[in-house]
Amino acid sequence: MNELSIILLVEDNPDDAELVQYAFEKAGIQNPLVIVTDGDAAVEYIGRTGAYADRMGQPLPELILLDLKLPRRSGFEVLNFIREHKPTKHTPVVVLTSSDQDEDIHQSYEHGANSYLVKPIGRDALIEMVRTLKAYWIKLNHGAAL
Amino acid sequence: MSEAGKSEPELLRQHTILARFGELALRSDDLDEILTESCRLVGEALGTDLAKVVELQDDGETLLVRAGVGWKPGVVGKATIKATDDTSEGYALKTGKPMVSSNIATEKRFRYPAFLIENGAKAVANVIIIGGKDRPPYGILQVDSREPREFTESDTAFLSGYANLLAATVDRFRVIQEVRDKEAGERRALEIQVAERTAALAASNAQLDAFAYTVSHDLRAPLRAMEGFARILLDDYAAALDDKGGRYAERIVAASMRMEGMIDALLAYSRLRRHEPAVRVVDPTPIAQRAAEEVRTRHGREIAIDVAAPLPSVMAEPTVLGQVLTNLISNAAKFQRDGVPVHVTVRAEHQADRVRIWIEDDGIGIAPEHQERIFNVFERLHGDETYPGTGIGLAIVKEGVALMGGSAGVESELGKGSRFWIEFADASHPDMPTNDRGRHQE
Repeated sequence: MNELSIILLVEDNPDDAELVQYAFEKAGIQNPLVIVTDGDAAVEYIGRTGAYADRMGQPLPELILLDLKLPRRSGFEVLNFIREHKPTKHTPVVVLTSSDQDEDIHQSYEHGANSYLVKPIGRDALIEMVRTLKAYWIKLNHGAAL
Repeated sequence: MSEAGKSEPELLRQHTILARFGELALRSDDLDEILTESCRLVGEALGTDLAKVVELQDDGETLLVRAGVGWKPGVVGKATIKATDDTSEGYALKTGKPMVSSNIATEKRFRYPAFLIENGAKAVANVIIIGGKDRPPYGILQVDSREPREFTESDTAFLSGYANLLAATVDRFRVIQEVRDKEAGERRALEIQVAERTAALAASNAQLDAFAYTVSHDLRAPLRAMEGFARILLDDYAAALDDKGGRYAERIVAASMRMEGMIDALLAYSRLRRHEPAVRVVDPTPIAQRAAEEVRTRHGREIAIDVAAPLPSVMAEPTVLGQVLTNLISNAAKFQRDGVPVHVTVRAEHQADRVRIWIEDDGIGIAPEHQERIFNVFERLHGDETYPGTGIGLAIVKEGVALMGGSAGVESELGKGSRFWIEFADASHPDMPTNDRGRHQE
């Protein structure tokens, strides 16, 4: 990933989306952040269909932050699509959710998530988490070339 | 000759039969056996080959051959007779009087069922078997002779008396059966009730799951927003807030954090209740040391927590035991007295086949009237200002210990500290000499 790589945030709660955006700024993440607010939009964005059909050929996200409980299509269904869609087959997906239920964690990995993070309560904790996210997934990790 | 013209041997025989029947009726708990045996006995008494008991069915007109002797297969338990006026059975039932045909070949009053002829019956005597008080007749006792013969008045008198004894016996069985049916009905009702309750419990467990999920997922989202934006106000927009505004924002943050603590504790509690821990041999020493370390770290400044190692092994589940010990040590460290440095001791002692772990402090103590209820969910004795908490910690202790087959309690005196204890099955062999014994009792 470089500083131009797109990060996709799939998040239906505007408060959480705003807080993540804020934490990105505080953590000094320069990458463009695209936010979609339901499962269908996520699939359309990644698949370049529907409202995003005109973006065909433009760069795809290189990191996806995915909430699980989403309108229209669940996070697991979005995960399935990401893994079945050839261009994003190897794109790192970090589940970012409120749930710490064993069943959700298990299902996430079962559907091909790379990491599972529970949204922390507390702005500082969130910033700390996003910093770590940056250090690992943006700086350290080598993704497969798209 | 005596008694209505009977011969002495005949009388003796009939008395003997009555005595044997009486004994049978008292001894047996099987009505079919009694009925069959009574047919055999009555045939013996009257010198006839065939005898049967026909039972009036619920429709009030069908008679079923309930028991009998001397009959070909297909009669007993199967053959039925309609109790109409033109049958001797119907007539006997209706009038209640004995009915005799000395030769059915020449009998003009009644029709006889085919199976009677097929079995070679030539002469018939019927007497009614009355029912219990206010009940329809039970049926008829019949003796059938394969030779045409007269039935004397003495014979029918004997038969009537015999049938009355039979009636008393049959009624006794009816009453017993009624009681049994009632009991079985009640038992069934009880079983249904238990099944319904079990289903309701499973449903409420499922609801608890759904509830826990909602708490975990949905209630946290607004909490994050409250805490997050209030903190951003404080940090990034401090200049725009006056003192009061700043304090209010701080209060939002503090309240959010409190609520988060409660949600966490509630979730831990509900998770505990949903999964029965797998109990095994556990050395509580490292678990207690880790718990002490966790409490020390959380407390911020240096506090004295002594674990009298080694603690004897117990039957428990490590994760739940860890949670229980953390809660107890944290509690002990929290409720300190002003000016008295925190000093928590964790030690153990053997009690018969049990191990009791004590968690002792020099804190504020608990008045006797509160010592029971502090283990209940959401039970708190202090305001959040003095001792913040969720009111769930000790509920987790009690529930968790109980799930591991142990128990928990407290000894305390107000103002003199508390001694909480948890007790488990001793994991060491009862006959094995153990160095732990007495070591921790200093």
